[in-house]
Amino acid sequence: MKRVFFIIGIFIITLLAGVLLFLLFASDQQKKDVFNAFNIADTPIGDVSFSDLVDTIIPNNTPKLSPLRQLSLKRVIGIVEIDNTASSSDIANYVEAGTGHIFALNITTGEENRISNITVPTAKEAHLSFDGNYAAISTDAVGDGRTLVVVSLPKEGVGLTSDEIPEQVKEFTLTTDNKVLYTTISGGVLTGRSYDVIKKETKTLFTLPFTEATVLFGAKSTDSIFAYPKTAESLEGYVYEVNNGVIDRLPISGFALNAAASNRNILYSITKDKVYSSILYNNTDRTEVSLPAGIIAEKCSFTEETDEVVCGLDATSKKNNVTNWFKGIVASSDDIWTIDTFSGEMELLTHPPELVGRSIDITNPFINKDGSHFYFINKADGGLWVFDRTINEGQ
Amino acid sequence: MRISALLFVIFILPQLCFAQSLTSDGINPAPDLELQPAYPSPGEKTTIRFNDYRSNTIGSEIRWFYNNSLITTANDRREVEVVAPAVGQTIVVKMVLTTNGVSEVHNVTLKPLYLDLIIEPQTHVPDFYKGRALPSVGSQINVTALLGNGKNLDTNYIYTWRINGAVYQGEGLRNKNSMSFLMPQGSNTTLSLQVSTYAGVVVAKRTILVPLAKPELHFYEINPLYGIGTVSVGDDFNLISNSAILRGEPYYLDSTVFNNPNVLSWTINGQPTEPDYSNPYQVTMEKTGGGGEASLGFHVRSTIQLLQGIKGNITIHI
Repeated sequence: MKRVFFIIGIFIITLLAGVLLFLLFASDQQKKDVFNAFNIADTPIGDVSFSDLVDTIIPNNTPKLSPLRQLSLKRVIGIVEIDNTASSSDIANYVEAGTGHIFALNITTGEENRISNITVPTAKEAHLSFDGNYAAISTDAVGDGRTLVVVSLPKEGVGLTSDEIPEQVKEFTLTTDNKVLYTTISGGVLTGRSYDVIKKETKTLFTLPFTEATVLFGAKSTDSIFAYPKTAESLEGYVYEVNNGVIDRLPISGFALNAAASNRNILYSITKDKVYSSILYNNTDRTEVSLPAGIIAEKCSFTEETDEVVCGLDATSKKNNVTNWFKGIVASSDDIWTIDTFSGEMELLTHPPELVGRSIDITNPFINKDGSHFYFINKADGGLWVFDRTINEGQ
Repeated sequence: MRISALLFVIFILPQLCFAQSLTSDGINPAPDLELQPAYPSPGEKTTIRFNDYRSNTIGSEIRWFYNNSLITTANDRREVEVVAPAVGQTIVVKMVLTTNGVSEVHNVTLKPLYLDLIIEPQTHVPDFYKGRALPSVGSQINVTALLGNGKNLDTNYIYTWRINGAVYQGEGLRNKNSMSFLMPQGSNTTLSLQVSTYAGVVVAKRTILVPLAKPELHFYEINPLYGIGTVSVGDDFNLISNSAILRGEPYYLDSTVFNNPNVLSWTINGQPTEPDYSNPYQVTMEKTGGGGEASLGFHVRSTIQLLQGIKGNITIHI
């Protein structure tokens, strides 16, 4: 009886060992047989579309870029994208608030280098040249004006230098042909001057018989200059064009007038019949087109090469009280829009709360020549941002 | 002699005075074309009305012409709306009235000019503020008139200014395209200007309302590195670091009061505290103990013009 049980036990153990060996060594053959049954193994490998079968692998060292992203945590007061060349693509120069130090930033990789350590105490506003060679930086106001420092960045064996404009300035810019255009007040008139940063020569451009003026300089020193009395909700404003020292009144006026301009177009906003509205005026053929929204013109920047203007606009605000925004007692939550300067059609580019989860109050906008990069400063914290139109939101 | 003089005053003088404006019947004013507004700006919609009080022209045929082109939409109407031409251009609007086959022609010429009145109140606003100062009671207002006639800011005219109807300096002033006045107490002020040639021909008129504003107070944080912030701290301020500097900015306070105020004080929970040595509109706060709240008050005022002042406070959270 014991022998019978022993034989049965040996048989079971042998059977189990056989099953185990089959599973270990014969499973690959089994799989192959299954695939053969589906007739895949004979398909030429070049005809398989792997893009549909595998996930996209993102290398760890290349972070996915958002089209809307913050470029600097520092407070920034001026930005320019250097003209696109093979060696400097996507390089932007910016000026840090408070110090006036200048940084070159690769907006794709985030790598940045300080390219000027000339300190301009309480630096408040800055403009930079498109070629990356010069910067004009003003201090905080003391009395009736601000000190303006022109920084020449190192190039071709010439080191870093700086010059101070020998008079207090009110408003200023740096043109693409490297001239600092600025205004100064003396004897109850506002004088506009041009300072050639290469020749270091100053020339008077115009005088205005009133001083409370907002002046819109052109991109080039030869462009038209526009001026209007500073914005007031309860006082009327009028736009004047200054060309070769001659002042001409344009057919633009209204309460709460504020404006942004290119050489061809003026985007202006006024309050008419208690409604804040915006209009695009073509200064070449003297026609105008009404826009479907009221925009604070300070939030707009014209492209140089394409006929569009890109703006920040708080569409939820029922009343865009521009002077309260100037005072900093109201903030706006802006979307970014593009406007066709011919048709006046507006197109929403992005809604920042949806894309980055926070509101942005756009100020100091700057758009590069082809309109692909819209830079701005968030008024709430002074941080520098870019909206990169070469990247789709869904990417 | 006296009787003849009296008869002259009663019967003849009125006839002479109204000789230009009465019809041949001596009762009705002569028909004319009236512009509304009387001195339109370039590009402004302008209504031209035919004023005619004669009974025998009712039902007459009326045709309007804009630079000799018939305005077809205005046939037999006594009023037409046109757009004034651009600055430097002239148009003639002609009206032909035909009654029983007899026609009479009336013309009006539009040669519009821009007459801009630029108001520059001498009241305080901070440097970063990109808007314009507004006038408050007793503050000085500088006004500049710019006549846009296609030439470069031509000022060779007689300027007659009126403030609330009263002629400024009692007469029209030669070449005086700017003036100053003190903002009256009460409500808004009416400012008018009439511009005439040296020969007395009126070329433009303009009337505007100058608004009266009250001073406003807003607080801003001062950063030793960045200067004044451009966003107001509002009604509450969180003192996160060990110290902070706040500035009170009295918008629209008369600049003379801002520069030399009779009253300028800061308080913490009602107790006077010293402002900054460098700027009395600033105060430095330091944490000295534990947490809590405090009320920071600010007051600036003229004791001569009591409406020239503002006070306010904010809550400091420590």
